[in-house]
Amino acid sequence: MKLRKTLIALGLLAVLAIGFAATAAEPITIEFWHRFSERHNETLEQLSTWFNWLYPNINVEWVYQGSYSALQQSINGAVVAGEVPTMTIFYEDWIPAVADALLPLEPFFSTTELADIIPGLLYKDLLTVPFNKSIMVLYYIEDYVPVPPTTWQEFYDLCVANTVDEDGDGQIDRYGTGLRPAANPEQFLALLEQNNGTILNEDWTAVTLDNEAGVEALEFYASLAPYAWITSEYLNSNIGYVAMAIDTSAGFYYWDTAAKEAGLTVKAAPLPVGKKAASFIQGTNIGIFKDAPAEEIAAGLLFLKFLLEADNTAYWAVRTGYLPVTLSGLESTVWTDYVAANPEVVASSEMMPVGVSSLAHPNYGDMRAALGTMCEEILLGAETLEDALAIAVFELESLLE
Amino acid sequence: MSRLDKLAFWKRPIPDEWRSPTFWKDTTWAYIYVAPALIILAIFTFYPFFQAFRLSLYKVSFTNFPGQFIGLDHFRYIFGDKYFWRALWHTLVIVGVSVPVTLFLALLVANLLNKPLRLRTFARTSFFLSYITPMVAVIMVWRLMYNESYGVLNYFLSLFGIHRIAWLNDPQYALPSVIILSVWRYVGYQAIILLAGMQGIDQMYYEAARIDGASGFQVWRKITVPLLTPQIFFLLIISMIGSFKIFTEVYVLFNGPGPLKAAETLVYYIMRQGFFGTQHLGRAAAASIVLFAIIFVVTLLQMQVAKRRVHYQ
Repeated sequence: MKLRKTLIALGLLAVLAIGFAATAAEPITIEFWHRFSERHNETLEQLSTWFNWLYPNINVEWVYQGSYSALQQSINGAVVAGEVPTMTIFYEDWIPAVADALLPLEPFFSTTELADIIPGLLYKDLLTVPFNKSIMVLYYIEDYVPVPPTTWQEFYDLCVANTVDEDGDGQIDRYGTGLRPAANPEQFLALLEQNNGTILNEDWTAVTLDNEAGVEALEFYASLAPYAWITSEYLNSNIGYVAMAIDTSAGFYYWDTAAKEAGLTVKAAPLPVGKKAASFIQGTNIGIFKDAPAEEIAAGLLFLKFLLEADNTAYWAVRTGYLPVTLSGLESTVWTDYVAANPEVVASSEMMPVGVSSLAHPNYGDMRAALGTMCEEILLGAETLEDALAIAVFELESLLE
Repeated sequence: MSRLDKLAFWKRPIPDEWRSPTFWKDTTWAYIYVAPALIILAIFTFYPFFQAFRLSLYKVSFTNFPGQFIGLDHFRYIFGDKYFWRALWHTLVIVGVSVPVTLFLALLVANLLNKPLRLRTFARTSFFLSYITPMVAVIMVWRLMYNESYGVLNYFLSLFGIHRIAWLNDPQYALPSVIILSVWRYVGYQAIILLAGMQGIDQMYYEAARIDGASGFQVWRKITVPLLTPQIFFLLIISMIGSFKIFTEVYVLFNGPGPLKAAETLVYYIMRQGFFGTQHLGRAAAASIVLFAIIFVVTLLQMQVAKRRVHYQ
């Protein structure tokens, strides 16, 4: 069956290639929907310009769709209306709703190409490939934490030591760390992954959050509560109020800017290691709609592979603060030179190969909300750990389809 | 003709004016003039309104439309969801506190602005600024003011020896944060409306009261306030409806529903169900039907009260 699929795909490519040759003079426009801000537009245009040098008859039209939620609604509406673009970016949990409209990509990638994509970013039924990704790292204010922690115990000890009431007025002036349970449950999910825990089992038929690994991770997370600023605000909004924090690598620019304004120095380190080194990757993937015209699909596949080339994924990462999504991208000169000149990305670069992504479950949005509620109730003392976990497991079980 | 006969419009005699061709010509042109507005209203207001009723009975998503009929399952879900009842409670608290407090303060401010003060125009403009400044910009500033460490509110409290309050991170202060913001925003607008009403009161009432030796407070209580009841009634209606629909203040202030969802209002709950995370459009529609019913009943009650209490000059 797989061989048949591959042969069909190769045949399709051959036909399309012949079609290209025959109609080489006719320009093809790829419509690419995105939500990247103006800051990234220049990089997008540069990538499409380079691509156009290689394929003069293919143009990439970048179409901004607003916020992520606006983009998701646009995608869903386009699928229903049958007016799809060539390609667009997706969060993993958006995919199941429109899976039938996406082109399966596996037949168009060789084994080598698939092996080159960072393993934590691949999904079964390859309907999308990764594009802009960031990873959770540990930001630390060097003025308070000269040497970053490398283990959970060291992290806990530093949190305790850095939770201080400097002026003796009975109020804490600085916390060891910052936690955003409802807004960013990925802080807990990174710890869960490090402890070999999972939310669901392999085939998504059972909840595994309450097994031994999950409870241990939750207990460690809960133990940080007295030494953590628990908030929904961005942790760099009160720079100096926390000594360290688990946050996305894409936020380094904001951390660094805030620290410099406050006369502090912020650095990034790999997450302290639990039972294994791991972190949580966030960001979007690219998919191609199978109902787009055949020549646009073929052009889109060429552009997709272009974006995944080592130097190109590295260039995108260098210019945007995201990370390369292929192993060859992490090893490319473009990236290694950048890392050598910018030590703050060493941590995220080292963590990428051991990162994991969120589940591509259709109800992951609700699952994430349930996890966030659980974390918040535990940290704020609204429920005991056992009760909050039981409630979350009950909700997760109701979301299994 | 009995009351029932009056209701049975098909039994009524045809009005004489209907026999005039000029009437129909004028009427047709009137409908043509309002047609564009009616069409827009029909598409963007009436159709979504009736579609919401339909959506509340179907399991739908953006890619599964028209979906499957499931009856009242969505209503059973929301009535069994503790977060729905919490959101309803939070909304009722906001309505119950912010509406009377705003109105009371607006009455005081309007009374003050009605006096012959120096820089009166400047004062009136200043109070109205809070209403005309874009909402999101205002809320972003309030976020800074509410900041636990650096916010100006905690600074002023510290001058009185009060320990700093985690306005946006402590569940017990989440709703007060929203209420304070809401009161601040709408006092100026309501004051201007009341001020306009005050200036429309005939001076002969005040002259008569002065002749009778009424004190300032008696004049205010027996003349000003009763004659302001049309404006007060109007403000009660719109501020109550507006308070029931509060969303932006919560969303921008807390970047979410607040700590432990302590500031989640009904509209936020509806948005969360329908558009954040896995999009349960049917549940959102069901919750919005419930909100509509609540506002409808409250407004009807207000209308009944108004019949007895509102005095028109």
